[in-house]
Amino acid sequence: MRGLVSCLLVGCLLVAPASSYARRLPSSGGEVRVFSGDRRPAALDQALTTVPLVEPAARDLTPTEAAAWPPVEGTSRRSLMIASARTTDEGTGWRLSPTSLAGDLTRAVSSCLDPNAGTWPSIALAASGIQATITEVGSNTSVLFSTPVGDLLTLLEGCYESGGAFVGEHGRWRARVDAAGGKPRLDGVRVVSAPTEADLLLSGDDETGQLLVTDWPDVWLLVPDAATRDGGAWALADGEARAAFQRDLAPELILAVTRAGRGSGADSLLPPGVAPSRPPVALTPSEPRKLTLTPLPDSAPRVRLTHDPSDALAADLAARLALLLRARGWAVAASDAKGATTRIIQWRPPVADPALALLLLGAELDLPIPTAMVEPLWSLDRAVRTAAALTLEQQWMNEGLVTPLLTAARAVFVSPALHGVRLRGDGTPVLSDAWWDRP
Amino acid sequence: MASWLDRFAQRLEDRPDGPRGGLTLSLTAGRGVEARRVERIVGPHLTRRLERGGVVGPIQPSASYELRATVSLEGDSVWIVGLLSGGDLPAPIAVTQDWLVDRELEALLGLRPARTGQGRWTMERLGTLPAGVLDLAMVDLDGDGGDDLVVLGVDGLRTFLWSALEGRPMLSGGAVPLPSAPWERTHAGWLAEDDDTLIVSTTAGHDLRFDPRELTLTPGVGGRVPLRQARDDSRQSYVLGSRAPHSSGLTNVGVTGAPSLVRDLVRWPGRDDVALWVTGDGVLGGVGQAGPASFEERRVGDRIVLADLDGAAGPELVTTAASLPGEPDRVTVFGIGSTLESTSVLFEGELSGSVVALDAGDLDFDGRGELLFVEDTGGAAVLWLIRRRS
Repeated sequence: MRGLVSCLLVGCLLVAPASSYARRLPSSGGEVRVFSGDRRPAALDQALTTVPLVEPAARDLTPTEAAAWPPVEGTSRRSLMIASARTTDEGTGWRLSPTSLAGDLTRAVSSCLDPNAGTWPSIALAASGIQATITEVGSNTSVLFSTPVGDLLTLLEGCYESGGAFVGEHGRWRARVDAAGGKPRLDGVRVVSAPTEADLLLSGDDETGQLLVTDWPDVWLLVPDAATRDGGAWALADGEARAAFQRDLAPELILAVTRAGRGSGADSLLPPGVAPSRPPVALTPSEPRKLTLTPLPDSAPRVRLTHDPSDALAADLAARLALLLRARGWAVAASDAKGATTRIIQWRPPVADPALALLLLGAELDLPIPTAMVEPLWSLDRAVRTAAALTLEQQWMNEGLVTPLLTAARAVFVSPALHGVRLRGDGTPVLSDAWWDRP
Repeated sequence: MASWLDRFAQRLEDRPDGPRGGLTLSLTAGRGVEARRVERIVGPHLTRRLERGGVVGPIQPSASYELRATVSLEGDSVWIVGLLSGGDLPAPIAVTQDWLVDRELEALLGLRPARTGQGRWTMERLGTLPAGVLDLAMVDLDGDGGDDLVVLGVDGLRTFLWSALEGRPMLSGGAVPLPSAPWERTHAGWLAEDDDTLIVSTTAGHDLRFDPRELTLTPGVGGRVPLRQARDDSRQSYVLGSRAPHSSGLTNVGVTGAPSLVRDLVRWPGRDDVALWVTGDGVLGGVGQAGPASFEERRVGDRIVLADLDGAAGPELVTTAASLPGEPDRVTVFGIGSTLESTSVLFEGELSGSVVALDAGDLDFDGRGELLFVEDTGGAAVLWLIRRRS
């Protein structure tokens, strides 16, 4: 199998969406070597060994996958296990009919939506205070919610069942003959420890393969605690202040250094690809501000900046934010100091629905979700759901609870000879329909 | 567009805490939409609708309520997102409305414009087809002299009649689902006209005949794969090949001089000694009147078309890809002679996705061919038309 190292020799660089090949007939066999770096291997294991209950409507399925996954009746989603999903009372009750392939649909849905499941659907329900009761009624599965859930199928995109294309553990997986949707073209997948040995890189800045970019970028957020907010370290409670802060932050320069420019500054929490464009802030024209640093007295207020130490982009942001704090008359406290703290976090919504994404952010950061917002956030009407999410997003930003810093594309690098690789919403590659081009 | 903006205005008017005595409105263009069109088309239309509604009051430069709205293209939908502030509102609220992009919105908002042509050639986007297209064939289904479409997709066969009025094909039949096949995964398919039926073959093992008028399926041609040929009344409209085991090509195509393994092969109209092919490893080759083709070696996509597209003597060759690394896929129309000594590029269209099916025919019965092809953009199958204008 040709590794990426061979591409280095010929100096090839492909930047293309996953499907950007002239059609070629696939061949069978071969192994894919994956370098996961600091990315979670558990997500790769899940993507290889399980299948989602529901495939998103907008996912770019290969023709093979589209053939294997039948459409859910009356919708644009596809599922191996669900033949139809109907609500009779505006979202409070749902009736799921299984396909002939479904093993135990009731058990699969129950284990996914259980409050202790730890899946993102169960977290989103819990953040809204919604209880789900799942029972078997005849051959169907009945799901009852304490508050109407308008789009159950989107929620079930975050539920996975065994029966994926591969089986294995400890970084080595082999193709399953009895995989749901048929045996994959590849013989197997294994994790390697060096990027130069890999055909697929989940992590790192190696740009010698095809670059597959996810449908939406990761977002870096500034999360001050109550003490920081009360002290007024950032003062970002209106759109104009946040726009001026963005100008001072110069995110494009930071991204140019660490991410080859693949990203941009952010004026909202939900990234493009998850939520539609919002109106920009009409800025009063002004000259770019010159940062003036003066010696700080010992009594200057202090704030601690924390971030994941393995996140290089967050480290660069912290350095720049320290400078901006200093220009505002604040000192950066030592990492082990007590007192006011501001976190820099990397966040990625696992789903393209703005309301579900925002609920998950609220759950992760323990942000307030007003009771009156719960029903519109779960509405069947996509426009109502989106409007509620964007209203809540504005509210959190204007209260200074969380501020967007920048977005950066998530990408994996793939050998140009490996075709049919897809990316899941969380950025993990799906290899069930991948194949090697061996002309 | 009227329905989309009406729905948006209705949502604004339905808010009990919304404006009643006047509104300041500003509109901007977001992702994928031209600012000029938002200003000149959406702005006046929305203003008129809100004023005629008589609920929010007049649109004026400095009212107590302000609505800042952005129009953007997100996937296959156009969105308007408004942030309403001022008045009695304690905090800004969002009002949104989405709408699937249709041809009217495409035209009004300048979304996904037709690609410009080179010289007299034009490339026009006709719309989308259900995802998962494997092949298409141009066949006269209604006997009007102009060709229509039969599309093979992963979920079955569909027929489309060409509408001269609309300038695009309209769905007339299907999907006729394919029966269960020996293998579950379908990577590729072939269609070829044979009298009143079409031969249908897929890599999943389908071997069928499709009657596009009756929408029925019957057993096929013994497991062989049909390769569509250039229009030539004196010859069969396809040649048959066999799937090569453990390979991505076809064998036994029965054409003199052809390699043992090909991905596609087309004979020169009116001649038995000239043919072009794509070899098993994806290289364009052929045999001409004077011997093996001597044109520059190039890698191409799996399918090629030989058809008269310019109305002059002799056919043109159409290939897909193969682009240099880092460049988008492309469809290329070559001028070529039956000696196969050289090729000249007549037209080249760049794409963002990959070409999954193509065929040539005569849609408008004017004697000059048109090329239809399907681009897979990752989720959507986009139908394009390339033609030479007179």
